[in-house]
Amino acid sequence: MTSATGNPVGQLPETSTAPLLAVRDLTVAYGGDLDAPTVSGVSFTVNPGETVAIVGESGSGKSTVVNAILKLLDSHVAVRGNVDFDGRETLRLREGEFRKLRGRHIGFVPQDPTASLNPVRRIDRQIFEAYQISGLPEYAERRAYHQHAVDLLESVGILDPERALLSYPHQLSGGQLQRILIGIAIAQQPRLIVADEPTSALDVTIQKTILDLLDRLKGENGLSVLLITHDLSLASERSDKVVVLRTGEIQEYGSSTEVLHHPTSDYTRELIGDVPSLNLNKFTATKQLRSGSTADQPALTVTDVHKTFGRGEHRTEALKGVSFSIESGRTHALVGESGSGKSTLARIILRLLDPDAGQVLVGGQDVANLARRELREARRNLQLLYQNPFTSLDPTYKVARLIEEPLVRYQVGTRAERREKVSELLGVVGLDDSFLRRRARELSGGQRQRVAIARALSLDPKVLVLDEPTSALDVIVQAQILQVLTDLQVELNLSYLFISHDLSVVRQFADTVTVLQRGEAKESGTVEEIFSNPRNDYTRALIDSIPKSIHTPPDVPKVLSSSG
Amino acid sequence: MVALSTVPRARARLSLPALTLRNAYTLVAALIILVVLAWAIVPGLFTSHSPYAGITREQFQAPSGAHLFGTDQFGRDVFARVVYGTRSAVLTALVAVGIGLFAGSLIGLVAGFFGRAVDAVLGRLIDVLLAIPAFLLAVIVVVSLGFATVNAAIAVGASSVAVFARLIRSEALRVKGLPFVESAYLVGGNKLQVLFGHVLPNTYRSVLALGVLQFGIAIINISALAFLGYGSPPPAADWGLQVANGKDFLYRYPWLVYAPGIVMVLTVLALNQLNKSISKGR
Repeated sequence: MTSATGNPVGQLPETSTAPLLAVRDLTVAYGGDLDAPTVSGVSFTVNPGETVAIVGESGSGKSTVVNAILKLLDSHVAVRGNVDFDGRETLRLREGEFRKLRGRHIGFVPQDPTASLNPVRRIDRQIFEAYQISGLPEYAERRAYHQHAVDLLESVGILDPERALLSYPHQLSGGQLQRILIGIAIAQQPRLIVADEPTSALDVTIQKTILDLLDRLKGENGLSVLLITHDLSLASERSDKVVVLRTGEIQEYGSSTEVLHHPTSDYTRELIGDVPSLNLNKFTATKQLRSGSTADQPALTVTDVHKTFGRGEHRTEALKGVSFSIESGRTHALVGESGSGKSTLARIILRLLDPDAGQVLVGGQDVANLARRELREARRNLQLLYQNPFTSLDPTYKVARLIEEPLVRYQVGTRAERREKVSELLGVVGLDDSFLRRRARELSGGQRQRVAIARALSLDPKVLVLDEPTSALDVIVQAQILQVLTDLQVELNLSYLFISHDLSVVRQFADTVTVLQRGEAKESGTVEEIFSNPRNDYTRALIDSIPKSIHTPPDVPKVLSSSG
Repeated sequence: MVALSTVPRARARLSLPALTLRNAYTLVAALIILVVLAWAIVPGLFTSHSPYAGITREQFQAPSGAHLFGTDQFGRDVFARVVYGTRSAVLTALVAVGIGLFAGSLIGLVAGFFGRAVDAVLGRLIDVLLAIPAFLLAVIVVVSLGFATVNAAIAVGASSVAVFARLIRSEALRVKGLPFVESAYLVGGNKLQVLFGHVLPNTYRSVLALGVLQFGIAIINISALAFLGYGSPPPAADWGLQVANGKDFLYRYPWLVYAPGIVMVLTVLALNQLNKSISKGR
């Protein structure tokens, strides 16, 4: 049924029943010209009771496919192909006709729950609205709405449904809101739920519970799920079939075990080789090249740091006495969810914030208590790599000037020497001199982050604070950036403080780790210790949230991305 | 199978001419500004008549081939006077915008960037300036400095300081919170280096757009001052002065007012259109 596309199609465990959703040769062109499509020739099927995941990086066209299926594209976008839902062609259905399907038969769970509920209406009103629109017989009695809603919220795991119903969206957490949205989606008893990155705006421990909820509801109600995600390991853990998309074309389509174990396209192989949770020892070999820690004192020591924001009733204790240290030439990870205080701690270490109490020792100097002039000198040894390379580089500067700026500020060398150093640094991060005259906005995310690394390294710092340096980047680019950082550690004996919420990356990249929760260090130790034997409930929950590389691939080809 | 959804295609075609129409407006606006600038730089190329020497027996002639915009009560060619008046209009407007832009940028930048007490003080100063109607402020300044074209420029410039300051203050507030500004401190930059090296360049685009808009407003205000007699004295060729002079004969010889008036209106409308395309980024 999908053979005409010429795409690599894996062996499908086809059932005899007719598919619920069949997409055939879907082609979408935003410019209106079907010869230059954004998405081309996409075909797949979703059978009743099945979960199908569409996996792809940003720009791969996965959201476009979903929007085409849900008919959410602008009217001037050209679309070709077929979408059959329950045996009925829907792509060319009139909007009025399709509206009867949307919501009622095809439910939708959005990416960011906080942006998807009306902030000025109470939760119960928004649920009742779904009841009203559905036109289902069980929702005929308006008086029964409240009881229905209570039952509904209970079934999606909201602990105090009565209170939640009377709340406004801002009074509930992101996880609760996502549960409510899933509840609204299933309230109309749809046969298919489309979930567009349903967990990427949520904390890791909550991600798992939301996905578990989707799985449970799917089993209870016989739903089919179309899951959109950028995370291949999550897709393979949660779905029966996987569609791998790249630049609008299917790279791979088949059962998830099949795709994971016997990928047929180079792209999928590279992807599998770069997903952190599938390659926990990716950097082990490189890391063994590092010289043994020679210095007798740690590169960075943080002792009993306290920080409280606000005053009076609105006090928030962001840090309650956190301590750790990093050996020179090693990587220490700081792990925790949003609000755990890890960013506050990073800012204190860089002295962008003053701590209330405590010490931050870098090269024997207490950064937390230095005078302004000494601080300026100390910062030469202590630089920061930002999370988002799209906002951390001045858009009006050219690459050469961005990398040279720290040298100019500290008056290092002559102009010619600085120029030489800049091009040397570019080489170190795997870019060539042709980038010197380009502006940051002309570069891709990965290239920008490389420029940011070169800039951070220009003063030859000893300690680099990495604030979620890859969370704004795609998996393959993330692997490349981590490789660059690992290589640099070998070469320059750098010490890293690696801040992350992604435990599988931490497992790959770091040597030691501190787990932060609500401003307290819950657990600390080597990565192997913590991961194999977590002693704390919170740590255990964090580790459980890593998508299980269920069927640990027997012979994953080690596609080591060249760092250049 | 390969059937095309027809409705979407039809709409796609419709949206194309709409796009070019907007471009056409910008093109026309740019042409008008180019002509006005050419008049200002080389007025002699556009008319053989003198703006000052009048032929008495040719007074109050209606627009014709010989006198494009007709002649005034002294028999002077109105078109020549409009063309030669462009230079003073453009120059004074440039000076005015320059003053407003420089002083306003400085105040707004410092207020937004340093914040706290500095912002509180400068913010109130901006409020005071905004509270006084711009034209009234310009009249006050020009009366206290004396009647002259340069003084009119200073007056109009002073009256636009607050507008620039307010915009740049908000831009500076936005930019100073961005990560690359913090990064500039981390690599050893001090406040002044960050202010002029990072914050100022990133506020430019919106300032440029406002500058163009203010240029048009300055032309109107300077002409208005000249109309009231606060600019250069007659017989200078000046748009505002021409309108003031023509108003006495408006009933019988309307071109004396309409000719310079329409040129002024077209110039300002063209500047507005350019401002729109700059701030939209085309």
